[in-house]
Amino acid sequence: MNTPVFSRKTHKWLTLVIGAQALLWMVSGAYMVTMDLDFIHGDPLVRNLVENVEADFNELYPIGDVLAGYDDAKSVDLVSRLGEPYYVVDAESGSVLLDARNGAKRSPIAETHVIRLAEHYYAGSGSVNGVRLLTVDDPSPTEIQTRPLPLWQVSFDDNIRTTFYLSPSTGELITRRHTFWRGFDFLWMLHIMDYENRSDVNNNLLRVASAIGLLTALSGLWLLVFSLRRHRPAIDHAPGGPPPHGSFDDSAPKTT
Amino acid sequence: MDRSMILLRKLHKWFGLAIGLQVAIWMLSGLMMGLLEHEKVQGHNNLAHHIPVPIQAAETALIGPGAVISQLPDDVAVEGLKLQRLIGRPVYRVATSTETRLFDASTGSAIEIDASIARDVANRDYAGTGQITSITEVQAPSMEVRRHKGKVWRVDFDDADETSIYVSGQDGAVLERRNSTWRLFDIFWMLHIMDYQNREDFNNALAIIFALSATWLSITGVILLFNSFNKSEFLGLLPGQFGRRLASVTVHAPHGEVISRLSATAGSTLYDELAKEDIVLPSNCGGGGTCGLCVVELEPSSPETAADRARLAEHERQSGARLSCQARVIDGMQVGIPGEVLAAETLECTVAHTRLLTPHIREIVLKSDDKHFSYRAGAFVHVIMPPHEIRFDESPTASSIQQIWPGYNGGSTSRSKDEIRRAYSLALPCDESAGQIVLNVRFMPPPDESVRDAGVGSGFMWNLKDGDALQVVGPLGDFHATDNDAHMIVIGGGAGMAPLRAIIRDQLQQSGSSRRIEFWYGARGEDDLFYVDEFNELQDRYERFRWHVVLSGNRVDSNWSGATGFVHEQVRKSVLLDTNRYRDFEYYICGPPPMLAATRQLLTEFGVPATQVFFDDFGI
Repeated sequence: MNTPVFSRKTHKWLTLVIGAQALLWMVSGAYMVTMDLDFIHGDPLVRNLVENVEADFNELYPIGDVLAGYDDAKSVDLVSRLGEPYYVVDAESGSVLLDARNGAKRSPIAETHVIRLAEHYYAGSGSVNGVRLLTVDDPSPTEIQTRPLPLWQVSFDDNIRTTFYLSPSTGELITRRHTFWRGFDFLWMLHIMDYENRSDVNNNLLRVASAIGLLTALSGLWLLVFSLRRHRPAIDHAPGGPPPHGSFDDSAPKTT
Repeated sequence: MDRSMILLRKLHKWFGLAIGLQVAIWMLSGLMMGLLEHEKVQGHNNLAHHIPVPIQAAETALIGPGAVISQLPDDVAVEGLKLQRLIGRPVYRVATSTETRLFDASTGSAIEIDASIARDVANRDYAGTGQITSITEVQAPSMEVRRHKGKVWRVDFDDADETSIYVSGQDGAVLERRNSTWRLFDIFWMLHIMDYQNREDFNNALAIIFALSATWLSITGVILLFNSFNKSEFLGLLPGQFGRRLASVTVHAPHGEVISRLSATAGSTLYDELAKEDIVLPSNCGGGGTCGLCVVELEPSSPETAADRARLAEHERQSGARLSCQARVIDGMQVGIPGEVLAAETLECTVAHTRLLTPHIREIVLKSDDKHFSYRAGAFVHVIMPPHEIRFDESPTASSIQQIWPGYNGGSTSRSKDEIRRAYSLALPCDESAGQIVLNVRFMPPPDESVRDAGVGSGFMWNLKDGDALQVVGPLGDFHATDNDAHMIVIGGGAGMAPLRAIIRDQLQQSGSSRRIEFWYGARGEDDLFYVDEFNELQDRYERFRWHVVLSGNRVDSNWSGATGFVHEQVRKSVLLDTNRYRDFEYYICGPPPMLAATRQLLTEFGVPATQVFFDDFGI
């Protein structure tokens, strides 16, 4: 087999194996690079994630008393939610939210409060059209990845189907999702070929496929080297075109 | 292939040229990122896991947040305040709109994260075997801490991973864990996202342009894929002949000689089927129909593709020119291929010596300048004859010609206005030829009185003198012995001796074969026989070789003790009617056309499979 033919056959057969995946890589890659990453992260959809703590720090419920109530506290965070100061106690046994003025326990957060918080965090133009507490017994939505339940799921009726996930124990906005994020995540799954967790880039399928992909690309380049070499000029089909080329065969009669 | 496919192919090629290298880089970097263990890239393999120690109210006299906040300027806004541990001791971490600071939770004094604290933080975080070699202050963002701002401590370890732990100069948090795996990964990441400056932003214009082009490249590629395969290519993967229809294809040299008869898969690409027979046509596009180099000549009525119309002029197509990479094999196909394609080289030769073997046959021995010329027994060469006019009375063979040419007169000539080529078989196996080219050339007088000139080819060859230079193209042909041990019946006549002699000598003396060989040679009279002593000697030496001469002419001497009649008739009597194993034999035939035709027909009548009949129909 001559080399261009071998390179073309290699390219062709490898493409037969990997072509569909290569197309998926390119389409998903094109989506990921054209979609603004901050938009995908939902940055324009949120506000008030961090509020200034407006309080008389000397009048707050004593932090020592907070610790006295939780002997497994790893840290105590003073934050502001909806203009009010709160303590978030991160304890081994779970996080709790306390009113920083009087030490009253405010978690788990009730639905009405969750809606108020979600609307407070939301910077879009829609309004809340669904609130649901996902408990540890509920199936975990793919879009929250490995984040543990329980979580409040708050959906908005905007045109990109924004969904917020809030912690029932701290009121924190854990993550936000929308149509374009979901598209990104699906394409990311196709891109890294981890169809289960959409996170493992070290899977063997991806390794084998990308190795084949590499060979396909290299065989294409190899073929290209030959393709750019000598070839017969294209025929001008217009009447009065250039004189035709001589045929290879001078067809001498067969005599002895 | 229609015109839109040609356009797609072009687009695919030009997009490939523009972005192919980047596509390969994507594949390579993707592969490398897939291979590098994420755990190591993240530095988690050296990450220490501590059981958190709860902050107890009783363990230390905590001051309240107010005592910390009062140390800040009045107008600063507090975004968060957190009681946590720094290497064991409780501290307040205060985040303001401008900075993050730590205060001792017992004394309220501000904590400056210095090199020694950074050392302790890094040591506590690190579970590897290395030791700290240096602690340096860097200003973020820099390449390895590009997502951070402000003062950062870089703590380097002397482990094999070349670990660097970055500790925030503001709150003592571990910001990044870098190592050689991450650094390698990061280069591939940079190449993958095409942000060569910050390695961070994959929404850059370059990446977008390339990614969209690559999408187009792969769309065209996938469409072309459907066009690039035909069913027979998949059938070719299956064992045996499953699902395949065989088609017989006859391949001709430019001058019409059959150089190969092949049994090809119907429907497959002619180019590929020829290549399987080592007839490799030139191609630079590799069979894409775009370079126009793999031209062959088919029947003028053969279907034309858009690729043919794009590369071949109308008059060429009308005379049957087609691109073999686009043509599909059909049964009975006749294919003419360009002479330069034959696996042959042009040899510069000189005539070493000549002799008359019979009144009609001249042995011409050529010396070639090419030490590496090699061929299989049974091959032929083309002798290239420049335009010439030969007067036979000036020829070295004039007296011999006079005897065999009744109409000869002093002015008899042989001439050709054009360069011509004639085929002659090689009369010795390569291993016995000592680098020489041995040809048997039969002189061809004009068929009757009305023709004045002798045959151009033989006239030229009979005029050669020692030392004459000439060009020879070869080796050519597909008339060769098989590799098996089947009993060989070799049937020849006239100058058809040449390839048969080469094959027989090769089989007896060179190939290591132990097969039985019977040689039936037909001639008109005893004076037409040549190489007689040689074959007698071979017969004496090799029990497995027998040769028989059959004389057919009316000049046969009365004391001739051998067989008479046509050679094929003798084969019929002595072989085909003599043993019922004749169907297992292989038949090798070369001789004058009537004898060849009669012999082939005879074998067909007796049901000898065509796959066991080999012949050379021009080597006379």
